[in-house]
Amino acid sequence: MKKSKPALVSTVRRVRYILMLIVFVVVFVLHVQGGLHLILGRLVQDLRELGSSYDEKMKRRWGRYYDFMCFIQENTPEDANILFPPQSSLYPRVGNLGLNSYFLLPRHLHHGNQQVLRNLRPPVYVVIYKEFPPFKVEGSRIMKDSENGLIHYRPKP
Amino acid sequence: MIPFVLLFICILFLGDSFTSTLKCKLGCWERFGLAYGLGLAIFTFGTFFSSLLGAPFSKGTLLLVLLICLTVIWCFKTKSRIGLNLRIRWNKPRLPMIILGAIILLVVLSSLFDSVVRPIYTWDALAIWGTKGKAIFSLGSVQAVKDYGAKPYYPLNIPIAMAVFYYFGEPFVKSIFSLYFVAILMVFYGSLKRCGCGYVASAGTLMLAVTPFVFFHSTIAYANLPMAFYYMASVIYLYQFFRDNNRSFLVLSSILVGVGCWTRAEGLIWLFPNLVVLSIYALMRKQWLDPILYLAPILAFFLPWSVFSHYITGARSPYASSALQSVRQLFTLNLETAYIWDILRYFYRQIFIKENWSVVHRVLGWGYVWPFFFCILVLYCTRIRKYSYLLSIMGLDILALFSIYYTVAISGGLYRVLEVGFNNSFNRVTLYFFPLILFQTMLLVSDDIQRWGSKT
Repeated sequence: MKKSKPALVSTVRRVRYILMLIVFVVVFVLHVQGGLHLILGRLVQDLRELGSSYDEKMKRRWGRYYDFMCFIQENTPEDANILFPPQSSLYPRVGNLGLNSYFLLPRHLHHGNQQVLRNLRPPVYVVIYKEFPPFKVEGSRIMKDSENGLIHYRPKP
Repeated sequence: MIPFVLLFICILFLGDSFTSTLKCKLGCWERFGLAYGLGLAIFTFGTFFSSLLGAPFSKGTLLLVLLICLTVIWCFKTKSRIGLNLRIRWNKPRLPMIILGAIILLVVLSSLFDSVVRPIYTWDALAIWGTKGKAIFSLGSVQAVKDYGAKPYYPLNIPIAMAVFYYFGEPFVKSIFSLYFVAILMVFYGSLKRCGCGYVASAGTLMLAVTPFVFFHSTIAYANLPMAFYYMASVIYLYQFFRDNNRSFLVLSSILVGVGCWTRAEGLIWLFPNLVVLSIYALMRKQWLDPILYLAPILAFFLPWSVFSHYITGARSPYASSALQSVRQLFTLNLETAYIWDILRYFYRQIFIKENWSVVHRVLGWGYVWPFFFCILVLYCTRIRKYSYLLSIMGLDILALFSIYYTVAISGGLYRVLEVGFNNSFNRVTLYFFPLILFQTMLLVSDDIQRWGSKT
């Protein structure tokens, strides 16, 4: 009876070892196979993008938003102060100053209303995007298309 | 290309010189991995200091910082009589190891290729890290982060590193993250091989490399992967300290947590699990000075940034007030049970139901690692005592994760995180201790394989 206990323990350990090996091999194969499938898929995508320019790649990712940022960059000087709509569900991208800054550096970007606008040092621009600005802005308009563009703010003295 | 390679070698040399001053016995894989992570962090920290002293961010300043850092470390090394250690022990690998190594190399090359081909395109990578890096580079001052980029209270390790790499072009900027991926794999492999057997270490490293979410993070420019590197390495070397009671590993672990605090704002939260378990260890062994020794390097990295952030950029982290509120609720036992259940349900969904272990691997998944961990833990529940410190740290990590969600919940943002398309937040935060889960699983597997291997 006394001898059977170590034998039982040894059998349990052996079974556990075999079970562990099975789990290990199955998980390893499934995990590596699935992971490599994903990585190779991404590699194929990368190879397709190899000939594209930076603009083409960014346009593919960010669509019209990237075009709009390029438009602002081309039509404003580097020392410009630009008023953007607030970040909300209506303006998730255009309202994100951190994101916009990446494309528009070193221009200074701001959120705000007429009061903020009056205090900005020229040259000042206001973004026209969807329902923004909800207030009247004096100055000349530079339009990208019928809906979006910029206002070069020039208050009457 | 040549200046980039030269800078990369200098960073490796700086990191390796620094690590060797700690006199830790490390394998060559770990040395290379740590050399990159620590070399880059010391370089960015030195650049940050030079900027505080009024130096502009320029090639000349960067070169000067590199020379000063190297001189200081080499003076210390000479004084402590630590020579140049270029010896690399190399055992002839067997065929299965060569095959596993070749697959890992393929994965690493894919990650590097991806960073060269794809520009920085993900939201936070552009809005937070990319903008700050570009601002420092183009305006020539670290203080540019005051006006550009979201979340000004985030530390500057990654933005400064990005600014340095902008000198070589944007593809090189993204390679920072692929190189952190390589560093994670090297430290993971080296330490697992030291604690277990070589085959299991190679298999575990391959599993880590092909885990969809880890690979995905090596190709987007988020600071989560660098933070995961520092935290994973810090816990592994703390575990090594618990095993050997060698204080050099304690100091190394502490420096890595400190650099973690210099990489992401939540670095301090992940310090607590380590500190709590270390305090218990110190209490049991009556080594009272260990927790204090552990805190010193962390403060050296954290305090300068903290002072800069408060008094120069004027940024206040919103986490502190929410954390205080949740601690107050904890002490008054005024906990919101509805939030607790919501968070637990969310965790369950993320681990067991969502894409994490479905047959179709999705980009944001962890593959089969979570179920693997639980299976192995159940099989080897009798050996938990042997790894009690490591498992306690992981348990506290999960508690810390829960606290983060609870803090977000009481500050009113929980449903934004859980429901409104913020699906990868769980994976992004678990990324810090996820490699440890695989590490622990592989240690248990390795134990038994070695035991039965020696019997046969």
